[in-house]
Amino acid sequence: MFSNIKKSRLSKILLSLLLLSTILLLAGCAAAPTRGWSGPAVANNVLYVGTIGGEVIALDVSGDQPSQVWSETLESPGTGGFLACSARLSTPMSTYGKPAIGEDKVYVGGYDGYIYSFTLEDGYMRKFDTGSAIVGSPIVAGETVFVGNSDGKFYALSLDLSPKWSFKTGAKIWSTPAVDNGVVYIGSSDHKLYALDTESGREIWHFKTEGAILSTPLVVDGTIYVGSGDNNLYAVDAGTGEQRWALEAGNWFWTEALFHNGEIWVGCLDHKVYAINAQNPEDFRVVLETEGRVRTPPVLMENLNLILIGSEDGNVYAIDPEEKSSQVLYSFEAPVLAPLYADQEKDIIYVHAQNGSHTLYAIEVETGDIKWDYTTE
Amino acid sequence: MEFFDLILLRPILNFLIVLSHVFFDNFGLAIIVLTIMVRFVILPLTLRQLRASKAMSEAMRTIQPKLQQIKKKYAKDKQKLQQETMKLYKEAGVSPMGCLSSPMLVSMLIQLPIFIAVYRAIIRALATTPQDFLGLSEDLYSWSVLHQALPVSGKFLWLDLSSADPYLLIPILVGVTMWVSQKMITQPTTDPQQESMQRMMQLMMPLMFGFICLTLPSGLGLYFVASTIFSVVVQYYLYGWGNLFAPAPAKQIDKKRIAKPEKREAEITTPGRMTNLKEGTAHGKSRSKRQDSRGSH
Repeated sequence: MFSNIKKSRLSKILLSLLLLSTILLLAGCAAAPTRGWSGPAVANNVLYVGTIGGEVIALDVSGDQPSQVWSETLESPGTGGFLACSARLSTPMSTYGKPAIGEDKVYVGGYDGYIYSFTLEDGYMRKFDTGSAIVGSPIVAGETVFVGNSDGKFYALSLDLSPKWSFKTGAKIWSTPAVDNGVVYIGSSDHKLYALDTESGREIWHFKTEGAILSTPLVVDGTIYVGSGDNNLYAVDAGTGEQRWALEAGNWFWTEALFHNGEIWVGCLDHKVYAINAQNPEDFRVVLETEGRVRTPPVLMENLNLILIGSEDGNVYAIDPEEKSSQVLYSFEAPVLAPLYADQEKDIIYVHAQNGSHTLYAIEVETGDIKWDYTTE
Repeated sequence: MEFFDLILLRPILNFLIVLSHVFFDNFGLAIIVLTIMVRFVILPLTLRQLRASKAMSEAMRTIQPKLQQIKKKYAKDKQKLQQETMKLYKEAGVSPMGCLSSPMLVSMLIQLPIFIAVYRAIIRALATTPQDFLGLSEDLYSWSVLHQALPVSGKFLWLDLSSADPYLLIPILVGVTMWVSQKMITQPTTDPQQESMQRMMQLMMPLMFGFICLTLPSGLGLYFVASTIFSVVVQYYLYGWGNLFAPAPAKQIDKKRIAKPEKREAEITTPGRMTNLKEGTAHGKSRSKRQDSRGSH
């Protein structure tokens, strides 16, 4: 039995432990480390993807098994830190979005704020500091690379990454831009969709919603389809910036829509996939309801006439666009947040799943079998 | 954890985001207002904890001379020493578990989850990384005002609330305000062991919190500062500046050591007389006054 003095000491020790554990708990649960959700892009049988280890890798996917052509580490000032788990201390070199492929270079946006270019042949690297984390994908249109950053700045850069012009929005840009007919469209967290002249960066119009625009705009026949953080999918006139229609869902949209046979296909963070008549938004169907948020854009596998989409529930689904019936193509038991890439020639889909080490899978869509997998870390 | 999120975290998180919209999309102001509101809601618990702590410290201080007597008297009989100490504690209403005694423990246990919920709500609302922002979509109520308020602006005065303060002012403020708060409520003691423990706690907590604020998002540091300043204000209204401007406990002990005649008298006091603690204290005080008046002549 403890004496009173021992009890008193015990209480002090218990108090100290309680204090220490509270401090550790507070310090430890500040924020999840950035891990990225980079999707793959393919050109000339070479696949390019960013990894959670801070690398960009090029894989030759022409054979039965992939072989690495080159890999480059994205240099980052991140140093880890106290308990290695607070927001500031996470290694800020992850990549979100997918690489953009130009004529002879591939462009990657880094969470460290740099946009990198690598020559397709040997991975020779150049970089340009935008000053803040890049989350959306860069795109290449003609002789210009477009990319937005978390400071709300939107850049037009030459193909060798020298700046042409920049445009400041009111909040972070986590959306991927879209270019059509000399106009670049970009969504911002300041709730606005901007239309800018590709040559000068002059604002042509902006369209205001009630929530942050994280989605990538889709431009089809003079109409822009873009989802917002106010739970609406909007159709906006590309010439005037006037709203044509809006469809309200159960949560935010953070993806890109697909146009197929007069219908807009789009996933939503309310776990559902919608198919909407592009002319009449009242004519819509919930094609699929998954167990997780849907933030991967749907992709069309043309030869097989299937629409493929991934979900945070770990499944990649194949949907028959005519019958609107769906089935699980493959279950990864790990969130699928990165964009999928459909190789139309081989009827293969590349999936970068968010399991512990981020594994890249090549799946034969016709059979649902894995052709190969490659751990990207 | 889901129950905790449902009952505490989500309501606080959603309310915090609404506050940020109401206060001109200023998330720093929202943190301060929420902290003050939460502290007001749990004020009865805080008061209960403070009063219990104060009462126990005073009771402990009052029984110190008698405790020393018992220790000397039963130095060779551990069992008897234990029994007499327990008896003395019981008579004075002091818990041997110190600040882990039931009224204080209950108050602490109720307040702690609320503090953690506010803390986590700030982290979630700041949503510094894309994963955090994606996770936020699951925590929000279907109020349109929440969509309009997001993402919250991290700019407040010189701070980017989602990253650490580059000028280190927030960690310093956290450390200083915590030290002030601790010092105000610490009761001086003559027990060297207890005094060293107090001194350690007075320094350790502000230092550790200041240290972790070097790396935490400054929005969390702002929460610590606002919460601690609230504590200081409450303590001031209850007990004034307390022990803040009092000399260090070590100096007080030294003074008592110098006052040898008083100590010697206490040693020869009969046990029967010492049971009346108030009488003993009053006697000591009147004697000091006599000494002072003699000195002034």
